[in-house]
Amino acid sequence: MKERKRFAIGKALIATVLMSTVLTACWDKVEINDLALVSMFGVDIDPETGIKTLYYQIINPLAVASAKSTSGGEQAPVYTYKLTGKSFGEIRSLAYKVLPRKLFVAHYKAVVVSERTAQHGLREIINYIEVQSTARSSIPMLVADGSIDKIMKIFLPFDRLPSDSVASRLRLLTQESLLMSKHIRVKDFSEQLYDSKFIVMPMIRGKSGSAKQRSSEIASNIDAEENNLFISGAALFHGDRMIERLNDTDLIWYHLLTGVKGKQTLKFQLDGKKITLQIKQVNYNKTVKLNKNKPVLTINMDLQLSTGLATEPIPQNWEEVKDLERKMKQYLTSELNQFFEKTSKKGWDLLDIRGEVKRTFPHKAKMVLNNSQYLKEADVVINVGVKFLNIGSIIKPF
Amino acid sequence: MYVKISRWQFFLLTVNYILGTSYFVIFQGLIKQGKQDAWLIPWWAGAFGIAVAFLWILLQRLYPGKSMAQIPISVLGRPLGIVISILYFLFFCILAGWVLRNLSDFLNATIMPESPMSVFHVMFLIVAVYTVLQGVETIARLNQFVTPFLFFPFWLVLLVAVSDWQWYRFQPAFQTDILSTVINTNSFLGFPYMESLALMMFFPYVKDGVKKTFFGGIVAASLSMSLTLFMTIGILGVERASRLTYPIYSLVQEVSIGEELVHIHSIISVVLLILIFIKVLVLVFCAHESLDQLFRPKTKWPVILALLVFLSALGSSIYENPIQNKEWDAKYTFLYDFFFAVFLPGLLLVTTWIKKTFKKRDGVSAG
Repeated sequence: MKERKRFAIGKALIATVLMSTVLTACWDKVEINDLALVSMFGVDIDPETGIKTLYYQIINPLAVASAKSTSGGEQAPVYTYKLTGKSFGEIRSLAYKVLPRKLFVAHYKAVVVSERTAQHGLREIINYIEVQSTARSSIPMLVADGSIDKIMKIFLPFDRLPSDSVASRLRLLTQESLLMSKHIRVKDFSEQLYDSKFIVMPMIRGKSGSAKQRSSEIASNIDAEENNLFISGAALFHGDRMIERLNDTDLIWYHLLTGVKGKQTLKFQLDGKKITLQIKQVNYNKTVKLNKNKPVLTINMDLQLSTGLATEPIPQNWEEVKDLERKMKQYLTSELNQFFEKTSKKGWDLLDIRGEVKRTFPHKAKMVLNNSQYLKEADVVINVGVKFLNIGSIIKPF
Repeated sequence: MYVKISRWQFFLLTVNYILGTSYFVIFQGLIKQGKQDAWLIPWWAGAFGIAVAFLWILLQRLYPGKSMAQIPISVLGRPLGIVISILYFLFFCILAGWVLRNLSDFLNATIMPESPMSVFHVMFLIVAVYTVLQGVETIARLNQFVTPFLFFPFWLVLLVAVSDWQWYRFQPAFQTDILSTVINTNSFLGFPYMESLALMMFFPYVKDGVKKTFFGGIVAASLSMSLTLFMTIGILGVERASRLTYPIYSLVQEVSIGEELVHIHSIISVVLLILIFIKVLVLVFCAHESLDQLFRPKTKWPVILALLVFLSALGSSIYENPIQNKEWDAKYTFLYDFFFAVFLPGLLLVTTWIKKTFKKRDGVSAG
């Protein structure tokens, strides 16, 4: 009996020891202090030599919690490592020549690419992001307007981490303006690559004051202009290459025409009268038909108007409201048509007529799209519905 | 057979076995072939699965209470029948090896790149073998217990991801050339549908109504796969989903609830791991059961230990890399599974009919 009990205990012990040797966590054990948490990364490729430069902005955990660390005085919230090599994979393995911790890319919040790289093509970068199992493609991608080196090495007011500041501004611009859509993520870019669609990505510019900065100095500097990153316009891509820059006005019309449900406040001049109005897209649909094998694209959109931020005289009665709605409808229809004509003349299919035809008329698409003039010959009908809805805190300006 | 499992338990076992590794091994290939209509593929593949299962049911009705390891002996006699039964034992082992390797590939590629693959194989097998030793009821109960923990988190995370849904990703709809898609996705008919032959080892243990339950399980698993494919296409789009190695994993990896709750892909990893475990469990049971029924060993542990070592080694050497696996899948899976799931059962069925006819004739002439 005793022997049997001993045997049972022995078996249990052997089983426990055996199991402990194969605990998988031992191999993939990760200590947070051993990780280099990447918060943002930048990419530049020399189009002539093909040499790639990666900027990894790595979080300094000691400095994120408080401005002053307990020992060693003030510390930077992030450190930017600049690494070069012939391929991204090669750079990754050579990173530890300068980096004392293991690169961890799962938490980065933004990717910045240099303008020359964007013009040369981003396919390789997209593949590099998608191929890494821990990297997410749901983060925004921005094009550097100016030196990427400066953008990646700048401390910002408000947020300790530049990536937080950039992500937050992109989110706010998407919510509060028509300058941005939410389709600025790496995955949006990779999805459209094989359809050769046009896609717009925001641009970012850096402005730094003194050559050597301290994050505490920036935090205590009242002038937010001096050291900051600025979201400035956008880069238009066809396939994986940047082909043009779009200004803010272009972006508003582009986003309205592509159905972005955002709002934008603008100063309009209607029949000589100036008025600040907020326009908000609430409904949108797009249909395509074929007329003698030429595409006819119809866009219907409903916009809401608000004088919430208007300092000018606003409509005071029903007739004036209807008049404002009529004039805005005319104005917006005209501007949107002009924008379409301007872009189609350049051969930019920003409204994705090609995609619409392929999806709606799969059997006729080849014949219709083989005509190189399909875009110029396409009819676009833009129907804008305008409704005045809200006013601000004053019904009549002082 | 005194031990019985309920129809509901067998239904859940069928669904989870079929879904097993399917979610992350074949989805990319299905979307690549079927494009925006890929969600229709499980419909006809499921119909094929039911047709093949009908053959097995027919065989089982002729030999009630007998498993796939015993039927060949009853039909062909011990010497020849035992060869067929051993072939089935090897079939179950090879399937288990495949599943284990798929599992370690997935873990190595996603969350545990440093761990040796054998560690995953051995860990899963230790638990599977222990469960198998406890008997068929334990397997069925375990599966019944874990199913809600698979079902709800899986669909919940997919529902959270629908914020990226775009209907245009399904256009142009219903443009698939069905014949060429069936030909190009023939491996899908083999894996997982023809491989569900393994569940025949459970038939003798199921309370009455195995046919409807089994068919119901195939239908439910097919609908589940169809819906998951539908959601994958709607959320990721055809282009991305057909290029990512594990589309569902990537889909969940990109989910964010607000700004703070991100990286919830561990949920899907755990769901997939448990599903794979169920499949390993079923196959280890089948392999062990076939040996047990064929040779009736008095002491079980040497057999089960040998099985553990054998399956673990098989998992490591079944293929060299995922590319080879993919090529095997495209070229041979259908034929390989057809041999075990249609040809051999068909042969047994025909032999039984011939035997019956001769018996009848002999009976008549004798009378």
